[in-house]
Amino acid sequence: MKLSEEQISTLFLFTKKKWVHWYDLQVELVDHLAARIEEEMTIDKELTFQKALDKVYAGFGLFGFSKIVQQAEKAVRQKNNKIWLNAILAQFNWPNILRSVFIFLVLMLAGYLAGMMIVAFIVLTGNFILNFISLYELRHKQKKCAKLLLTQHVSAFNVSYLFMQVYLFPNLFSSASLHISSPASFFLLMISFSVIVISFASKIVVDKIFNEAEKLYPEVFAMPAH
Amino acid sequence: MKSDSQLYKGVLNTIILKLLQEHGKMYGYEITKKVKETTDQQINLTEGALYPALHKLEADGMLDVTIEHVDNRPRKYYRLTKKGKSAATIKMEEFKEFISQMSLLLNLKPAIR
Repeated sequence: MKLSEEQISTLFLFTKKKWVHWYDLQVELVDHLAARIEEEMTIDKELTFQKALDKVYAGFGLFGFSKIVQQAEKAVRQKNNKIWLNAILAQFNWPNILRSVFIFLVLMLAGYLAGMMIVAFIVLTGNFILNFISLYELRHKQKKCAKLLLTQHVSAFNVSYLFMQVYLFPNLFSSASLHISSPASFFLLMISFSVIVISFASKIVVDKIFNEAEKLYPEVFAMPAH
Repeated sequence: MKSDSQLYKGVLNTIILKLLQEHGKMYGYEITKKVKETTDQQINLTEGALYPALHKLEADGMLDVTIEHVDNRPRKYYRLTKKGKSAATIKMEEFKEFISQMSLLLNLKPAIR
């Protein structure tokens, strides 16, 4: 016997009531509950949907879905961290390395011609503004699919990166010398280079995570933003 | 026999990878059912152990997921990635070696080499 659409909706509400707020996790648990309920109701024809649900949910143990939710959140954090790491490392792979080296040489040349302080100031200020805008866009995207666990924790890195930049500004410029060959200037150059590389990586990460989410759960993206 | 014993937890990933290697794509409940059937109802893979293991393997890049609509609901299917396929082969080899060593150590029967 197969469950009706109405009964499936009841199961979605049930998981929500049991503190499973992520739609992607609800999908998996609803399918599991439904498959087991169908099996129970096939074996015992007298069993009602509600009684079968109670019986199946009892099989999840004393803590119900809580352990599954907790572990899923941890797994998504780990997965997204790996995507971040791979995206940053990808900037040093062929042919991306060409772009990275080109950026570095342009920064070196600009630093030599115009002075390291000016170049670093332009790069860091420009990047700070771009980062702020992309964070705003990211928040908007996340609002659109707020119910998906897959797309959570994406902005955490961007937020900390933004704060890092705020912290770096006064410290960097107070220690940097105007001369291109000084260690402080070189450090400033490397920081400028890093923020550009991280910005490229950030674009890859956001695109990858949201494209995957949209491919798997197009129905969530079709809903109006909250 | 309880599936949540430490002994089974240690080989849970191997079981999942092996099943996916044999069947291509599977969904969560299908895996628990297959384990139950194959072991003649002796091993009951609990949901609390299965789903965290699946999510961890997915996070580690071993599994890929797709969604299909079946019987009025979306269903999440898991399949092995390239990394998962080689991990499945390695884990099976490791497990066979482990069984062989345990047989020797516990004097269960002569190890097959």
